[in-house]
Amino acid sequence: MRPTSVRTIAKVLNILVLIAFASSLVILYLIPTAVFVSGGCGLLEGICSYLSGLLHPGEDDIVIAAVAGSALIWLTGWFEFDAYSLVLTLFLLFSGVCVAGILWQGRRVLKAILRGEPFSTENAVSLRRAAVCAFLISAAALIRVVFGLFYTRSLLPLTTYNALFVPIFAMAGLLYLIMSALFRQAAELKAENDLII
Amino acid sequence: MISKNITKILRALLLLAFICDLLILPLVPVLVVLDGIEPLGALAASGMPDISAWLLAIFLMSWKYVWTADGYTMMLTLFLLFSGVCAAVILWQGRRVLRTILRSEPFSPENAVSLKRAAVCAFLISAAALARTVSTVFLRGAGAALMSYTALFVPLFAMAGLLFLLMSGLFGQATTMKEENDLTI
Repeated sequence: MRPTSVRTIAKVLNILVLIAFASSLVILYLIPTAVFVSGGCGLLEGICSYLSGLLHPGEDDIVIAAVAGSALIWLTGWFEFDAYSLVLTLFLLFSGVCVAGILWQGRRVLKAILRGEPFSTENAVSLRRAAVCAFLISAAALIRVVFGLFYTRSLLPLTTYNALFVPIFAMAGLLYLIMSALFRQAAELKAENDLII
Repeated sequence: MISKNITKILRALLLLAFICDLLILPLVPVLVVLDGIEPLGALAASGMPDISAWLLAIFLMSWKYVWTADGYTMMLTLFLLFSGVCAAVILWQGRRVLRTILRSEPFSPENAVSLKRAAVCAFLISAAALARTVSTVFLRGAGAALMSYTALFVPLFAMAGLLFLLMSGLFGQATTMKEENDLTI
């Protein structure tokens, strides 16, 4: 593949990652509202019904109240949630921040590629940071699964998507670590190459 | 030097994921009929005396049922089977790449090819998710279709595909660099 096509892909991916980053920030803000509205199950539906109520209000909907509610719940929600919802909210907030961190590091790598310097040591550092974030998400998911096992006193939490996140993000972390090492190796190779010339 | 241990661990985990994927593929119609994995877990935990006969009966019935059921169920089964196969191919290509890293030849042209194959599979999953979302729009209405995780899969796997393409291009560049380096020495 020619370097120009790599740059085109990097450009497209850069925009998509920016959109994902912006969405993750918006969703991060809406997490307590979503947990509150959905009562802990069907979070995606919770967010969507909240947003659709906001964007297409019915006759008896008060938009300002809904907007203020999403901000107010950041203050009062901690006292209203039960233990399950509280752990869910904390888990989602923590992994949301980590995801934003991973996306931001991804943007840094893509920027370096766009500058025409894909094989630089700073990319290796960025990917290592992304790996740490992925491991943190995996650990948070593990904590939530263990909490779920005690809370429900059954093995059902093992069959949730949450349990699936533990190995997936652990694997993602390992993948980032390997990519980091590969980038470092390629950077050394490039430095050697540049010295000879 | 890349830590061989990390590569080995990831390779083992990928193999595990690959095996799980292959085990889940035949169970897809069962999961569709039972609506998720939780009923299956509850059934297995109930400890009935003829549990294996029950499971076999459910397995056979569901493979027959999904093709005669409504369009939504059929579409869901087809989507899950198709993306399961694509995911298996991606995992296998990942194992190939890791094998070359273990051989200490990370910058070889075959890795660029493997990653390009993985990119094609990711795009196929994205397209399948798009097809399923569109079909759900017609079968169940736009609200149910756009609120689902399937709709989320479309941009997610499109991005994964682009990422694989990008990595493929970078591996290609690094390979040329390495060849140049080896030639000068």
